[in-house]
Amino acid sequence: MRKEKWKLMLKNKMFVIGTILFVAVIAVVVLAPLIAPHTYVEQNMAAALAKPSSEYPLGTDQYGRCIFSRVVYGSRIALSVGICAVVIESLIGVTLGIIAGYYGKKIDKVVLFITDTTWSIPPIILAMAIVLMLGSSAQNVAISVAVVSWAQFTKIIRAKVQSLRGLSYIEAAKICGESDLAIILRYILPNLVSTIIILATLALPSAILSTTSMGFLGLGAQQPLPDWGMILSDGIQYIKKAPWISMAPGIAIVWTVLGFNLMGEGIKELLDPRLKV
Amino acid sequence: MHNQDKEQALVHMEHLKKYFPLRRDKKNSYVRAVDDVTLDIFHGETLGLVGESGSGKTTLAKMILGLLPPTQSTIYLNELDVWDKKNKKALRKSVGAVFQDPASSLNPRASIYRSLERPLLINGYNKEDAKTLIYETAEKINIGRELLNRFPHELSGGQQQRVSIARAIMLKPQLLVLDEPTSALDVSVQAQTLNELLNLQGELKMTYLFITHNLSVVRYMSDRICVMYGGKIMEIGKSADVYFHCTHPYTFGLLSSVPPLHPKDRNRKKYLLSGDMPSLTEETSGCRFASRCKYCKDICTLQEPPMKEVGEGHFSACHFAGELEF
Amino acid sequence: MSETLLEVKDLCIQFETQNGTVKAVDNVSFDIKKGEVFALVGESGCGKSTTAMGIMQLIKSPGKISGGAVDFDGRDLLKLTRQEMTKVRGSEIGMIFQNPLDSLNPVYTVGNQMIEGLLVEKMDKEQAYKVAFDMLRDVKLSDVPARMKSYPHEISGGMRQRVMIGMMLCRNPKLLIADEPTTALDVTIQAGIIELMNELRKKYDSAILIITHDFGIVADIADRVGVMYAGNLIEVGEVFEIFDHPKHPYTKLLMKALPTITKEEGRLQTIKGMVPNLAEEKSGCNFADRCPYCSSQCREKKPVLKEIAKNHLCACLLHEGGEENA
Repeated sequence: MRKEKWKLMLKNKMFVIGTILFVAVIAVVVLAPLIAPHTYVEQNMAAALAKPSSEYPLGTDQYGRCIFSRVVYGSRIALSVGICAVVIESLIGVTLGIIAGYYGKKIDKVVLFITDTTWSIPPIILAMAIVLMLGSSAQNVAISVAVVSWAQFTKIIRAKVQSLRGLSYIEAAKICGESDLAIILRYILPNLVSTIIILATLALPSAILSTTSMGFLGLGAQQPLPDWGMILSDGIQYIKKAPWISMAPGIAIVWTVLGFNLMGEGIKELLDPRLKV
Repeated sequence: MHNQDKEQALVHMEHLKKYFPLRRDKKNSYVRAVDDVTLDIFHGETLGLVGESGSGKTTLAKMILGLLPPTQSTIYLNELDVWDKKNKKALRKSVGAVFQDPASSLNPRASIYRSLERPLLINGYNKEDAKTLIYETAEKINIGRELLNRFPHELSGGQQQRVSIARAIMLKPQLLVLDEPTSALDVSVQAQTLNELLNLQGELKMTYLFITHNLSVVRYMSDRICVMYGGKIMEIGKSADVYFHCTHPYTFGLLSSVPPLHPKDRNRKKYLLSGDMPSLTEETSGCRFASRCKYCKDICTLQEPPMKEVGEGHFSACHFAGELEF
Repeated sequence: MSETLLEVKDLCIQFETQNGTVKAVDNVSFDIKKGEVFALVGESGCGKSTTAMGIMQLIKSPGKISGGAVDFDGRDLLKLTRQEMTKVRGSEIGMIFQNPLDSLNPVYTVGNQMIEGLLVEKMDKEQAYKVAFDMLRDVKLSDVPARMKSYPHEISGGMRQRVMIGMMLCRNPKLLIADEPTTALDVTIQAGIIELMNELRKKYDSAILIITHDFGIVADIADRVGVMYAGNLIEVGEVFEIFDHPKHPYTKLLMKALPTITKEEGRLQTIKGMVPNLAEEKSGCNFADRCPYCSSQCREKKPVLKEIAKNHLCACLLHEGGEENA
């Protein structure tokens, strides 16, 4: 059964393209020191704002740093911050979703109120406020992105738990004397795994987008760390003289986000085609 | 109210109510799902609970199983209050349940063996004892050992339902609540499941509360039949009495709605109920069934009929019980 | 003998699945005469609904009709173009399903939907309104003017099924296919619908093909019965004949599996084993593995439907050549 499903997946062109893009990104993350011709801090003032050449495949910035190398190393920041953000947001979202869905009544109302409130604040503004409060750094960006985007997890997990809660096997477990915690951990959580995987893969690209946006606004990882958003915003002032500075991280962002999105859709098709995200 | 002594009742309830609040902003706005039910279930019997959807039979079962707290009054099992927290542990092993939908009765992520093992482990068995008991039970109700390592979706509906029965009876409960256990099954599988339930009952001396909307099944299985309508008991008595000498117009309506067993009965005397079940949100002063009853008189809409004894252990909640000729 | 309206000849429907080709309907032949009620009865997965969908040509991929003919009123439906078939559906053959809510458009009122269907028949609006109104009165809806203005979700399940029946009948089809029309309904509502169908078929003189798993409904309404098992039609006969003298072992066993007795009177008949996997190609009778009268011949030769008595067809080797030993 499983085997046939994978075969079916390989027929899904979008999923295949997404996976190829994804594998390429992972390869770049892992092999960054081998791929990049320079380190991301290495400066060469003599070659400032140089055009793409064999020495600098995508040119250099105003300090003569290799853009290609910076974008390659930047993938590590983008991905790690993105993944951290998704892990934190899924922890918050899933926990609240399960609690709200399982216990219902007043607890549900409170959680729902908090969720709706978070959802109604423009996320980027809330994230900015949090980073400004905590100080600019990669970790704080991850935290802030997580804090503004867990609501999606909560809503979907809550609905899923509500439908699971009424199923006969949960009632049978209760009759046998299973405690609430055991029901959640043994009966509900295992049945949420596929939903959580789908939600996480689909949340990752938007988390990466948010972290790079924060970088663009100067709130993310600080110089000389190669944050894609920051490279992009630095390049803006030289956009006429040296358009490659902004274009390179821009393409990297689109590449990564597209890859994850296509792959996430494919995984959703595989695990739970009816899930509404 | 029954001839048997109170001590003999395994399950006992008096004036049991379950009201679901309908809207928070309106006071006294409830769905009266179970309304003033007084009922005993005796040791070793099968009590068939029948009624249309929305009659409150499943709500009543959930209260007995400890899944839904009653709004008023409580249920006693072996004279222990089911809803008293300190009795929870003592009662856990006394009740088992089998539900309607075999597919959702088993955890899709756990193998059959795990699904059967878990209730035993919670209730004080060690892994070894549990294994022996699972194999023993599986043999008893024809679950092949090779099925134990499979997952629920790999089993047929009948097999899934047998696993649910195994899980429910492993701890040898005194009361087994069967909520439409065969209505999702085919006729031939249903026959097999019903026979197995009868054998198990004889062997383990269990008491059954058998909930169904299928009157032929309930006649086959039950010693007594209890007919519910709109959250209230309409008629209760020995199976044969209720089936062949019913005294409540609703019971008659229900019975004559059952399709015949042979085409020659096509033109049998019928009393077709018209209309739908009334909304259970309004407080009614009279009989719940009055709006659909063709024998309805003035008194029926004004005064709630009391439970009248019309025969030995045969009760009917109708003002004219025993006077009506069907 | 009256005229034949529908003749299904050697209809084969297969589904391509990962595990191979499943012959869901295998060489099924039967006929329906004008104005008669024919019931196709069998357990889940036997191909009864697929047969009906095949007649209507509503088989969805990965299924396809792989052979046979469906002669309806002088032409082969399988040879019609898509447009011609669309015309046949609705105006000449009506169909009602188990869940009427799925077949009614939720954004139109009941009245508008019925009128819409009639306007296709070159009626003017006023005429259509009148026909729809009369039809709803014929299907015994109370307060017809209000019901015309109701949306499908505002009326109960039983009423919806009545509306569906009315909607189908108001275009005066020669054949009405009812696929498990009462399975989702309570028994009291079911009785009303069956009564209604019995009444209306006399008035409108439509033939009815009723698909059901419930022998009670068969006994209540059918003139003739076809019993299906694992994709094969195994027995066809008049309803009294099938109930009084079932010939095929499967039909016999199934009749005894029906809960028509009490537990004091005995146990229900069970059928050993399970329905075979239809994806596996095998010779012989599909019922051989479960049949108590199975002989070696049964595993080699596939029985075909043969007339064993007047108007009584049976596909069983036991009855071939007139030997009667079962």
